[in-house]
Amino acid sequence: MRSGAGLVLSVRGERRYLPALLVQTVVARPRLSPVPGSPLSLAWVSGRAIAVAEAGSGPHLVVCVAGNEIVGVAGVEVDGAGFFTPQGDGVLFEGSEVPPFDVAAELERVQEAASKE
Amino acid sequence: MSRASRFLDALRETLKDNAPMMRSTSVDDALLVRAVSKAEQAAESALGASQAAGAASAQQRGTLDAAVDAVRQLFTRAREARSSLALSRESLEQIRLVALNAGLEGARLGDPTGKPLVLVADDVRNHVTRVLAALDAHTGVLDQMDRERDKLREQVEGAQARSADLARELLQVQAAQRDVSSAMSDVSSRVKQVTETDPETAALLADASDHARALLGALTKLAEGPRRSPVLRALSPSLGPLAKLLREQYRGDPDGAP
Repeated sequence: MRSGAGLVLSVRGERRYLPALLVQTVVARPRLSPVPGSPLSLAWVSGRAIAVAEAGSGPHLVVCVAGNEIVGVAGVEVDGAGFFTPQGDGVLFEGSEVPPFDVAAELERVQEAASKE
Repeated sequence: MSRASRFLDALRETLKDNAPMMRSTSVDDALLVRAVSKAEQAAESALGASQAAGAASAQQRGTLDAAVDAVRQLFTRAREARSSLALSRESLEQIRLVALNAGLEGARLGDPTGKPLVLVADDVRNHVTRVLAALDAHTGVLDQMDRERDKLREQVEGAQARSADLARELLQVQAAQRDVSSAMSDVSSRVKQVTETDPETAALLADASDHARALLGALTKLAEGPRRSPVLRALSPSLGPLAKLLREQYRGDPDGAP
């Protein structure tokens, strides 16, 4: 049975749940350096450079694991961390069902947006 | 008939038909000299008053300058307060992040091992959220104070500008009054030259003329009353010496003998 342990984030005004096992750390949104030819940026977090996908204008950057890669999602706002009641694929937070946040899908969205430009 | 009554009759007789003609040239000169002297004194007084107003205006400008400095000081203090608030906010945001990561760590440890850590982290985040709300309120108050300070600065600077205008006007008034004083002084010396009248004598003469007219008027009214003799007799101790003095002064002068 899923534990419901993780983070609840606001991404572009919508709440999403991110399981704790996929999250390494949460930091304040650092300065992002664009990488020419790539939809991702680079950020210096805790002494290492990581690839970052920009998901919005929030104050936080969540360092998470997507596949076997470490990737940052910047521009989110973390609303809660801890144990939540599982509900469907997501959790219950403040009385509402919060769907899961798909990091791989977010990376694809960023790539698509970049290719359209 | 008493001496006083006789004196009065004589005086009235003398002045009766040609009272306006009695004004001798020397009396007119004396009146003129006295008027010029009074005008000169008034001009000096006005100059003194405008100089005092100038000094008061300078004091007022000093006070307004101090007020402007105080307002500037308030702006500096507000900037310092804002800077402290920004530092506090930054630190609180860091604490909130630490609490979020502590909650994440607790979640990773699983229930029940990580539960206490999650609870403490939640508690810390809630406190931080409350303090951040209080800081927002403080920032709002500072914003309001900034707006009020802006208004205050505008008003004080406006008063400062008006005070400077007033000071300039007062300087012009002082210059004009100095000119008036100087002109009056010139008029006075020319009047003295023309009339060849000593100012002190002129003042005494003018006063004596005024008193003589007043005395004559009063005595005439008394003499018209129903009980003129007892009243005039009562005045004889005062009028006697006067009559004697006038007799001595005008002895041998056909126009002036009372």
